[in-house]
Amino acid sequence: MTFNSFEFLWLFPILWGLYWVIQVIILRKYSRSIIGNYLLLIISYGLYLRWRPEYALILLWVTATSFIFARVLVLFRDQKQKSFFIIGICLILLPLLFFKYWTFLGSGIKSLVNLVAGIQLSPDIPGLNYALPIGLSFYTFQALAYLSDVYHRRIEPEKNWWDYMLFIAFFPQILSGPISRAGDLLPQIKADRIPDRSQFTRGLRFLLWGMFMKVVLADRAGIYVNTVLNNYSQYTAPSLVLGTFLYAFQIYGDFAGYSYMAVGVGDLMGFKLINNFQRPYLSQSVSEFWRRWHISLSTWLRDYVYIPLGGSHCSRLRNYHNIIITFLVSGIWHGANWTFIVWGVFHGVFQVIEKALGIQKMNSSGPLKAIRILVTFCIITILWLFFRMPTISDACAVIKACFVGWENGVSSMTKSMGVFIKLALVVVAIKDLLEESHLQWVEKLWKMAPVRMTLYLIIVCLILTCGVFDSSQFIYVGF
Amino acid sequence: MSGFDVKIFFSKLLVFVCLLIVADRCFGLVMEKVLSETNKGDWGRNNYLMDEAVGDVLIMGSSRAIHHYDAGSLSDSLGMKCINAGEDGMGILLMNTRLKHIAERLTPKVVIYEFLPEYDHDSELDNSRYLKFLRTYVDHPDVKECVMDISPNERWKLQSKMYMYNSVFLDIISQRFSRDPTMSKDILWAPLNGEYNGTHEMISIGGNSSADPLKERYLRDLVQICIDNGIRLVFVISPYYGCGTFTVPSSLASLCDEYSIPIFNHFSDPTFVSDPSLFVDPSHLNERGASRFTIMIGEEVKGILRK
Repeated sequence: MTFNSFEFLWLFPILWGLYWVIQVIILRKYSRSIIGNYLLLIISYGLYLRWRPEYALILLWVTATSFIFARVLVLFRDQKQKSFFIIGICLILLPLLFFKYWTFLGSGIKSLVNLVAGIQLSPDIPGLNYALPIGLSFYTFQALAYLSDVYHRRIEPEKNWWDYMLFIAFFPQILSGPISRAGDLLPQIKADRIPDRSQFTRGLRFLLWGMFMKVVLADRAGIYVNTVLNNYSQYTAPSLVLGTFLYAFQIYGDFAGYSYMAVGVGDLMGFKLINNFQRPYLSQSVSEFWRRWHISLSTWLRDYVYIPLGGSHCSRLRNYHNIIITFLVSGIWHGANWTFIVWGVFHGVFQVIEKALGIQKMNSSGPLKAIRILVTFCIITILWLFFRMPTISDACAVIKACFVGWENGVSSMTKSMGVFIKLALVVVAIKDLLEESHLQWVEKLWKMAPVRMTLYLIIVCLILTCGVFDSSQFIYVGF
Repeated sequence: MSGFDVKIFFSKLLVFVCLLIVADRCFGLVMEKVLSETNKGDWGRNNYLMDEAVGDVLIMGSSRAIHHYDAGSLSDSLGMKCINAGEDGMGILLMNTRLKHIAERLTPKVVIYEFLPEYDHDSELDNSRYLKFLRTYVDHPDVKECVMDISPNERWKLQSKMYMYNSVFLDIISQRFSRDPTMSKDILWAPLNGEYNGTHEMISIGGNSSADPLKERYLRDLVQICIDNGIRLVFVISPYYGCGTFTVPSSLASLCDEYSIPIFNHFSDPTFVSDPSLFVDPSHLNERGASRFTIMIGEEVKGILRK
């Protein structure tokens, strides 16, 4: 069940009502969180089972191995503890390796053997990367972080199996994150959750905005992007440049839309999930972009890859190496394809350049700020092509084709499609710019209930009239 | 949350929902009026075909129907008024419903159906795209039945008038107020200009594709409407550029056998298939190709009518 489906529209209010009614009204004598957690666990697994029941076993495997090994870790010290930690990490990673990377690794090994020994291995080593369990990369990273936190004694191992199961399978975030930390989410699971009007309002607001970003911006832009980039050889520069530009907004609308909806659903259920996006396209550098885009993954990579490698507390060269490795991991996490690896490495390289120039944390103002935002946006947008296209040569071909045929106009863009896309872009740009600017008059205006109500009404009307309602899957669910 | 808080939250939510319903109804009323007054472009044509068009020969099918058949020339050739009801990207689900709706008003003598497996037979992930011209006519029982068949959830979704006009309201408004004289509602055909300069490729259509049970049912139903109303039905497969094969899907073949319905298969017609100057792309004839094809079909239909 995706947040943009009709099923969610009618099923979620029922589940939400049931959840709070049972907790607050019927079971007011009992511990609310325990009953609420069981309910949430049933909902979370129920929704996951509806997709492909057998893949719930993978979810269970990752949950069980991380839970058991975290408990085992505290029984040992020193070398044995480290061994168990490594075994635990390997066991957690096993499904991810098998389902997502097996074919990629297999073909890599095959090529290597062919290159080194001249032996042609055949047939291909069969893998299951065509049937990736949804959310696998997300909940695997969540479990890895938990085990690492226990190993490094940042948190105590969880003793309650049911609470831990819910932590891994919590339905708003299981498909595409945010990747929550045990230190943030487990205490919330254990605490009594009391219905809070302001949290509910915030949740509905996030849900509404997320829906707008997904169905009005991402899915509308996606129609044009898919038409052009899937058949790029038939299009000339203006259409390809527009398609590339729109892909940057498609993926923003798609992923931020999902994340906002996840945060919104979390709020409505009484949880505070990490907000994954902070107006990323207003970044002045690639480094800043990663502090604003997919924040839960960026902080994960910082805490569990970059810092253990030595972070910035080492020589300059070693620091650059650490940055590249961290973004290489980021690329690999996104998918088993050289395109993602190149995308990740380029992001690392640009950050190294920024660090060498000393501009990664420099905040400019005025026209310089605008130029820096524009340059960063262009870099990010071009790199998205490696993320989007099936092969590196396709991505390079699109980049090359962006310089040919400027005498032709934009094709395959109907008048109404153009209006819908411009409208969505303008609304998103206004919201992001106003939030970024922290203007006092905006904040004053926002405090007025009729203004808020009118804006909500406009957004709902735009969703209903301009949205694309084909319940299309979110891009990041594929990761 | 205290009882007071609960009341405030839900009362605000209720006010919001009420305002939304009012806005939705107002939007619906305005759009209904605008649509009823639209007599140009796609939407004017849809209104015209559904509510006004009168003729003896009906040409139906996808883009290959609207672009390949010159209804004016066919009218002259057959001595009967022809209407081209073909629609870009549409297939049997819309055509069947259009025919049902038209048959309530008049009974055409002949239906020429340009058959394309992609839209008239093959299974697709989602048939919702065929709803484009049907949603606004959902109050009509025959249209409603098709809409529900395509997507049962539409019953609930179409309670919202904004959803009813989702993605199309701009087109409707622009066509209503358009001053373009070429946007006639009574389009005899929409000839395509240009010449194909691509390669001569091997094309195979209708072979391995799996059938969509709904499309099969609607195809059978279309045949039944024609049989019941004494309409002569002809299936046509117009030429494709390239060297390929067209396999008539078994469901269509058995229907045609059962009711002795002719299939004019011009898929590999040598008059066309090796001449790129008659095409704009492998699946569409240009104006010259379509004019030549219309003359050919006119003669074939005449032959059928003589029998």
